[in-house]
Amino acid sequence: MSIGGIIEIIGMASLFIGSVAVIFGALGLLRLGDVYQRMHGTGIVDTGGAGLILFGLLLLSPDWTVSVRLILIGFILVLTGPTATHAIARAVRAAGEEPENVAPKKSAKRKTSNRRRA
Amino acid sequence: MRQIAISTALLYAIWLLLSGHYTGLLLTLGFLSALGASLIAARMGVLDEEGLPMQILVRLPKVTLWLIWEILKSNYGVVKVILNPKLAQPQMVSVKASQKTVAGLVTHANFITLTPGTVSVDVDEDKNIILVHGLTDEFAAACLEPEMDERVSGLEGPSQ
Repeated sequence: MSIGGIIEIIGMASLFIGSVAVIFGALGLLRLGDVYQRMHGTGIVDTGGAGLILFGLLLLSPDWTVSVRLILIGFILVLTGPTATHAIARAVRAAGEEPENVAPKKSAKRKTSNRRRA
Repeated sequence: MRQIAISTALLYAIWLLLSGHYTGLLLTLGFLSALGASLIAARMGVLDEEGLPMQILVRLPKVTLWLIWEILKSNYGVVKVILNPKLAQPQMVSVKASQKTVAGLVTHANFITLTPGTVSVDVDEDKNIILVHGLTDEFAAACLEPEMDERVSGLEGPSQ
């Protein structure tokens, strides 16, 4: 098999794993407990999901001008993603919502009440 | 002056990479807009050590591979918690940061947030403390370890 073929397969695998990571992130947004925990779910979309999809596209990109744009997109995502997450976390805390800090069993109970509110 | 030159060079490099049209007139216009944008930024007073932290940007590639590996590892950890939310042990921890510059502190906080499983909720610039929300004991403990702190401090350079 040629090197190009191997790179193409790695790129496609990367795209697939990235898409699965995005699905897991969305699942986490729905399943986890309070707003702080849900933020960790979206962290997967920001990093593993977007990162692997961009990496896959990079390997499959037809010429260097596309690659440059993809790298710049990745750089900007890495800068802005955490900043936005931090802004949300800080705003939530400023609004007076304290994170739940309890044993795993009780957090399952709180989860239902949080879900109702959401 | 030096900051304006660096900023112009960076902007022009990005313009060259993105434009794809390389004729004399367009090259000149591209340079002029890069210079103009830098001058405006300088006049706004955002081209200081915080707005263009060159000492950090230059050394960033050193930690990139390590950071990607950490991110992939904790992605897996968070997926495990998502599949079984009962594993979550949410908690807040205060992380002591050893960075000397504000840009370094922000980089540290951003790295913590970038790693899934930990989110920096509040940053205290005066006391150099980052308040972190961890998803499980493991993630919170990983943040308290000095490794990330040392690597980010290494980005600030040895001279400071």
